Amino acid sequence: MDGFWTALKLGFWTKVKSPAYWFSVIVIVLVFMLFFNMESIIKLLFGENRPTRIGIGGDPAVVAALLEESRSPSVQETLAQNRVELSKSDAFAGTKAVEDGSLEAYVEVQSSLDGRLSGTVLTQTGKNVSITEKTSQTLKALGQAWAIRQLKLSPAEFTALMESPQLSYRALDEKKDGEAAARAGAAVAMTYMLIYLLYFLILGAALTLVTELAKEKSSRFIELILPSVSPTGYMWAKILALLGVFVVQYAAVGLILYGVSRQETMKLFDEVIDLTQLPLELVVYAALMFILGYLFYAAIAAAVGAMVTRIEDASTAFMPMTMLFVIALFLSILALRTPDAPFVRVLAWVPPFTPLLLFVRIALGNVAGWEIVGAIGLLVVTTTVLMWVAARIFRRTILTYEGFDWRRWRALFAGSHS
Amino acid sequence: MSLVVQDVVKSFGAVRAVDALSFEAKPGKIFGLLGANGAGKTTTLRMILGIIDPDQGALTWQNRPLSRDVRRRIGYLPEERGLDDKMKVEDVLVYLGQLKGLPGRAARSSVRAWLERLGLSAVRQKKVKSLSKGNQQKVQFIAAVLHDPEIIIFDEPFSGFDPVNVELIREEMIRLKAEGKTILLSSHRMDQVETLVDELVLLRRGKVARRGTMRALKAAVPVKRYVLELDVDEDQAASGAESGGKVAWHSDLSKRLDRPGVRWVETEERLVFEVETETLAQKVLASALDLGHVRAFYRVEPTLHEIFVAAMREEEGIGVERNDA
Repeated sequence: MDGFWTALKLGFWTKVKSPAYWFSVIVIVLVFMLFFNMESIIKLLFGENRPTRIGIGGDPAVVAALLEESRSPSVQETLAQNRVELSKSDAFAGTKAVEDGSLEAYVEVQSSLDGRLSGTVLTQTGKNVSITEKTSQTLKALGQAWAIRQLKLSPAEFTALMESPQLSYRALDEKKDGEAAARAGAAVAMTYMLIYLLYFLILGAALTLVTELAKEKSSRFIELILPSVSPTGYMWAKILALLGVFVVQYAAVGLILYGVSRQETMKLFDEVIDLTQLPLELVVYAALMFILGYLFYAAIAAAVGAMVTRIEDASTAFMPMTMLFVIALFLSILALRTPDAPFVRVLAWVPPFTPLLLFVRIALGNVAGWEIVGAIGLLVVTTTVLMWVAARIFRRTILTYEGFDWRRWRALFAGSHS
Repeated sequence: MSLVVQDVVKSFGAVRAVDALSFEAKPGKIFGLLGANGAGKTTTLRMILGIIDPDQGALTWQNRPLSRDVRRRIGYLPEERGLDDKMKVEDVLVYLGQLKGLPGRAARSSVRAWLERLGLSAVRQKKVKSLSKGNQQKVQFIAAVLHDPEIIIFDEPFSGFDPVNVELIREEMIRLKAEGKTILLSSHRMDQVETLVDELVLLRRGKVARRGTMRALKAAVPVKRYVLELDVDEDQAASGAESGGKVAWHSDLSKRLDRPGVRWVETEERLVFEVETETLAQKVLASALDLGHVRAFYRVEPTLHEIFVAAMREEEGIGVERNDA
């Protein structure tokens, strides 16, 4: 076991002591900072987006009435939220203005005999969703105000109709009433950040393992190492050393981001990311999911790294696992808004998806204790089996260079050397 | 106090890579494990190193089974070798020294001593990839010996080494042998190891084709080769000039000296013949003395390469046929 500990210790320290390692910490922090401050950076670099200008034309009486309605507080609020500027136009001038870009949209309005508003929207391409949405919301607000005017409602009736109901939120698993809804957006944003962290951590560590093993094998450095430590011992030393390396790296990244997030400048989905609000329990689960997810993918990575003979083939050979994990990421992003959907509940039990999907369920969903224990248990059992298989493949292929032939896969388990 | 390999068998699928192999490598000696590519040399070495397990047989050191601890301290220069080229020379060697069980400080001090000894002190802080191939080879050699191992295995030690480094490594091997190390040397280049090995086994398809000391192996070769050089008789040479001068004269002499049991190997620039008995060689010499002035008459020892080729052909049933190496 001396060889194992030496390989583990040296594998860890050699990486952690290198300047490139700490440089990559800075790069990761910068990438996260860039991502979570993207909105402010875009504003800083390119200024605010200009308002969306919409021209209204058609029946002059209707147009005049709508422009009058646009001064009402409810319509003004909609215009301000959507950063829309309304102006009077006509079919000819409106079409020309859309064509030369001085208007984003021109709406030809008319009213039916029963007083209902309808219109035709003209834009340059029809494919700019932002313009279509803003036009639709503006016309909806104008239409409502128009309809209310037709109904001749009193100001009190008008207010009662237009105001949203006052709601306060409670949740069974919240310690303090009223916090759940207030924190829902922030919780989704932080979970989003954490699943990305988990994704990069697990995939990054597994890919590093594959390429390092392939490099040591193709350069024949492994021939100098293996006489001093058993192949299985070395496989474990390598896996655990990289686990340590990535834990330290991301702990450093996490601490820096923790400090930065206190400035409340990091934003995602219009929510301020404040890591001081992150429950400790969630941090522990994130760490657990990283360790288990990494070990699952590392078992496959170790076997692949031992089988390939050229460093160029390493990431290609690992590609199916990378794709599988990308699917896990997509599913977990979908799960952010529906953490208790049946597909999330079921797929959280599938080991390659468990690290990300179960984490989303724990962070945002209503997950029972037995579900957590069961899914983690299944992941642990699968990883144990994979490690056993990986150790056999590793022992039999790490020193062979004739290229692996899957038709001889039985030899891996039959006790003979491939 | 020796490394003993006894009746070791190893198969890979249907292929028997090593078949009932036995030998003993002693301290202060260089033991040669020789054979063509695929003879089972590297498999044998990997079993000694514990990288793969034998199917049958025993491997002992000082009369005890080779333990993991002993194996870990064996010095090993593999046939195919490389280094982590992004690491610094000193760091990679210290890493390998520590893997061999040296404490960090002792590893560093040994590495520095070896780097100085092989003239590499100036590059100890440089990355391996910045070194010339020759210097990388020296670093690889240091990796095998820096922990002062009792057993050192050199697998094709000269492959890829430039002539200057070949000589350097030979000198170091001789020095290590003088220090009492048990050295196991595997090679298919007989010419490069002939003067180094004290005792050897010649392997063919995992089996021993020949074994013994160099002297015994040479003595065991039944055919003896002699060189006969005569001063050219001016008249005879002149008379034969029309038909080819010295070459024709040598050819003529070989015909006149020929007798049953003599096989002429060379008859152009000099006369070289093979016989099976010393008496027959003396008879050829006596006849030669009658014909003119013998300038030189001496026996040529068979080379290891010739012994190896003869052994391989004998195993294949082709029959012994010596080539002039």
